Amino acid sequence: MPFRNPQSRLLSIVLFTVIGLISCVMIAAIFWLPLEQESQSDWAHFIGRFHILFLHLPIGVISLIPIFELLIRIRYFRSLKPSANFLLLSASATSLLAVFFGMMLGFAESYQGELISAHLWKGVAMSICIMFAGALRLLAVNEANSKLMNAYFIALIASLGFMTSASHDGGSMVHGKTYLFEHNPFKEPRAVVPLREQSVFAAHIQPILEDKCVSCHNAEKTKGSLVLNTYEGIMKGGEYGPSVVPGKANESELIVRVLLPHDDEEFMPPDGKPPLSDEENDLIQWWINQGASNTLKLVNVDIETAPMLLAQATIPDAPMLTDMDLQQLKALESKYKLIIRPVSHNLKDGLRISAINATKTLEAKALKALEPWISHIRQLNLDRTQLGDEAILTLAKFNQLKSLSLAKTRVSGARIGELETLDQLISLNLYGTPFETANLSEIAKLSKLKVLYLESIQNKEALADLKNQSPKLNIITDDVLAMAQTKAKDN
Amino acid sequence: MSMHDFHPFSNTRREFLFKSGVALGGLALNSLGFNKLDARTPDLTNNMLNALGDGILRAPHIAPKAKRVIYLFQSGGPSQLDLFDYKPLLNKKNGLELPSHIRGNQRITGMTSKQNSLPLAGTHWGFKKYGQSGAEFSSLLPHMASVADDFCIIKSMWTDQINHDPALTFMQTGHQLSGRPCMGAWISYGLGSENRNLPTFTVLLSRGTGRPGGQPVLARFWGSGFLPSVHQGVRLRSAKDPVLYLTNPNGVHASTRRNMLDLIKDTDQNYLDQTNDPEAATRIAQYEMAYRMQTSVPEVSDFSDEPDYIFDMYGPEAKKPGTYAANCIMARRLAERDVKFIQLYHQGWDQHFTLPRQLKGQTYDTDQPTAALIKDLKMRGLLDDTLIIWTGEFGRTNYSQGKLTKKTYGRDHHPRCFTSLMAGGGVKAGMTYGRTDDYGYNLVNPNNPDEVIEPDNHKLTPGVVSIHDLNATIMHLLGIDHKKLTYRHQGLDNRLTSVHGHVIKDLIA
Repeated sequence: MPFRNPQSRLLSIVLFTVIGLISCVMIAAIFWLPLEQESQSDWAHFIGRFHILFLHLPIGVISLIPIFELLIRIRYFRSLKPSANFLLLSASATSLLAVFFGMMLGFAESYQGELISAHLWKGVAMSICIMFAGALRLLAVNEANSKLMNAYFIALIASLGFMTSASHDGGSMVHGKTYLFEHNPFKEPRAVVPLREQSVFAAHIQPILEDKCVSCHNAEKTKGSLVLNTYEGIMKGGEYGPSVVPGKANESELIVRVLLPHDDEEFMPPDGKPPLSDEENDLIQWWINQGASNTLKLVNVDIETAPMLLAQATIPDAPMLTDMDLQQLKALESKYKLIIRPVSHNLKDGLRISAINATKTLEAKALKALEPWISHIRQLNLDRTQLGDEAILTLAKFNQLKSLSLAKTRVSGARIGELETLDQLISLNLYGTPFETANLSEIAKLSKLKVLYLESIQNKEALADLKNQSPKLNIITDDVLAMAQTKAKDN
Repeated sequence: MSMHDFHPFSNTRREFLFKSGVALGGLALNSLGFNKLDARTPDLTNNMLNALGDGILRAPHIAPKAKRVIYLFQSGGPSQLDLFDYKPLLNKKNGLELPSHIRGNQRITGMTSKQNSLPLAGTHWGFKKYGQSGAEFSSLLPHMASVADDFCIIKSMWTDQINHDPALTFMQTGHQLSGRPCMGAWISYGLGSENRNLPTFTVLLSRGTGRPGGQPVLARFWGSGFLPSVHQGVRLRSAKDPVLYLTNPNGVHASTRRNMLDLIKDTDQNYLDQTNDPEAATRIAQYEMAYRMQTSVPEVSDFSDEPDYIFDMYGPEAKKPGTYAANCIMARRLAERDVKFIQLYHQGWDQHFTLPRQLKGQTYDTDQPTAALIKDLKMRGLLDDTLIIWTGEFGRTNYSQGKLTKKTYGRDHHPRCFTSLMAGGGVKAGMTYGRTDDYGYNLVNPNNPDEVIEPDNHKLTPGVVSIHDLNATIMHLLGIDHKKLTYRHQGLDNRLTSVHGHVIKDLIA
């Protein structure tokens, strides 16, 4: 190196020796650092966590220096020139601090995977480069020595490069690799798996874990040695043993942790992170109790006993009701004196319709008018209206109906089999209708029906037949009337 | 009543000054969701709920199990030890003094505090287990026992009120001091109404034959408190005119009546536009409702379309208007017409003296009709979405009030444990929840009967149900989150369950 005078030569020897020593210490520390263990020392944890605080300082200063170097070329900012050495000194000092705290953090907490070592090397490289950059600029003596200045710029750019890369790795470790571009407005929408092929684990359990657990429990950052982004990892468990015991949700550590009181130390996810909702907890518990399988398909699940989140998933998405739809529905409400209401605040629960205020006036054409919104209508109460069998054909179109009540209407049951298109229908109320027993066998066509209300069934054979054909169907009749009728017959 | 809530000038002077005074900051706070100033404004971000819903909540928070409630209130405090809670130890120790370690520091009423002794009184009736659930009923309740598997029996209810008025007020409104809205009013406010021709909240009273001069039942038990008075209960009397002054007097034609009502409506509407007084909105609504009730009430109270076997099912008193049996039939008819909250009060359960004779009368009044109501709703397909509640305001003591003789005894008020029953409406049928100690005096841990529980409103104690918990659970079955149905009054976001109440999930199917 061409130095003007002995003082600068001495200075350069001293500077480079010191920097060299510090660099060697850091590099040695990297090899020694036990990354995969968790330290029991409270001091280590306490001090280590300050890395998160201090790392912002070198990032800030090192980012500032290139801007500074550009600015001082402008005449207006020339007065800033003398601060160059100060800036580089700060950059070096804060880098070293950040590295020190970072190593303490690495010592304290357990890390696995490539990211941590990449982050570590780059952080150290950044510090070494900026120290050299600082030394070079100092020795360049107010930019007089252009060769040194060139070397300085190279070291500065290198430091900036290492810093960017190291900090990106650091961010990925904390937030997950996809964090930065997760909400990119131009990204492709997630592929929707059709309902028939959906696996309970992949489509319903994994997303919950990904959302709420995987940021700390993945291949790169494994808190508690637990990996939750793969099925194998979930089943394997971590530091505290298996996280999932198939069939026994209350013995599964995964469940135990999320069900603790929120202010408990061991509660998961820990503070700051959003907890799992009650429905999500129910779903995961149910999944574990069902054997925690990753091959169970949604179509094979008994929806009646499944937790709410799964049951809702099977409801095909109805198109959102637009303002125009709402206006038209309100108009129908007043025109036909219907009650059209949302079942609950959860729009997926759909609408319920009641004709309780229109018992004298309701005609089948009111039902026809509702056809555009069939996909939303889940409950229909037409009790005590004047409707008869002619309405059945229109009703057969309401394929999202879960419950249909036609009590005290004129339905006699002719063509009631047409309602077999209502494959979601669970409850059918025909109490007080002039229902003819001859039509009883048609009811068997309603495959999902769980409960049927009829006032009385005189023909015991027909009743027995229906019970044979639909063993799951609960048929409720007026026993008291039956007794009274038998009494009357006997008298 | 949603008319008032969306009025563009819905401001008191206080609100106006406050809002304009903090305009910019208010704008910012507004977008952060701190819009607590007007707790009456619903979340307007959801168009569907807003357009199609009713009541302040627009729709239940979650899909409801129950759409209607029939609240069979047994006023006076039925004696659980003679009806539901079988305690053979009391018969064994009949006449012996109530041990002080059992009593603890439970306060007793002024009536029994003067007694020299508190002798334990065993029941005069036998108990048996019924149905597949093995629920226990005494021989006084054969009919209710026959539908044992439909009930969810809570044996560990408790209250902290020892006298009727505060206890009833507490059960209905969530606080022992009056002035708050009762459950029916909250539900009407929260969910609106269905049948536009009938009031959302109706009340029916009946007197007990066991003790005809029993504790009075006050109109404020079905009052609306600080909610707009359109939400109060409408009492249907048992006389020829269920609602007084409803029908047109002689000489007043229906069209005359309509003209009169139109004129009154115009006047009230003017007043409403000027002042935005919610009572004016109530008045308009009530007059219109009254007009519609002129047709609907005679129709619902005319039992001539009921076949004889129905009357037989409800028992010998069913044809007499004003009896509990007749009121149960009326309750079923109202439920068929989607009236949301039907409350029956049956008086006369306050058996301080001559319990054996009086209780026979009370159970004669109520046993058969209650069971009949359940059967009736079930066969009509209404039981699954109608919640039935059978309860008193507190229980009765295990020691005798007054002289304990072979023939007779009395029981005083006992708030520390009592029994309530629920059926239908999403409740887990065929179960008994909670347990009392062998003396029938204290609540105990159902898993460890030796452990006495000191109940506390502030935390959820498994196995024990406070009044707030019961109310929260009822709300939950209706799909309402009890913490989210509130009304800003005097600076507080009031709710039925005060600052307490836990939904007891074990009671829900």
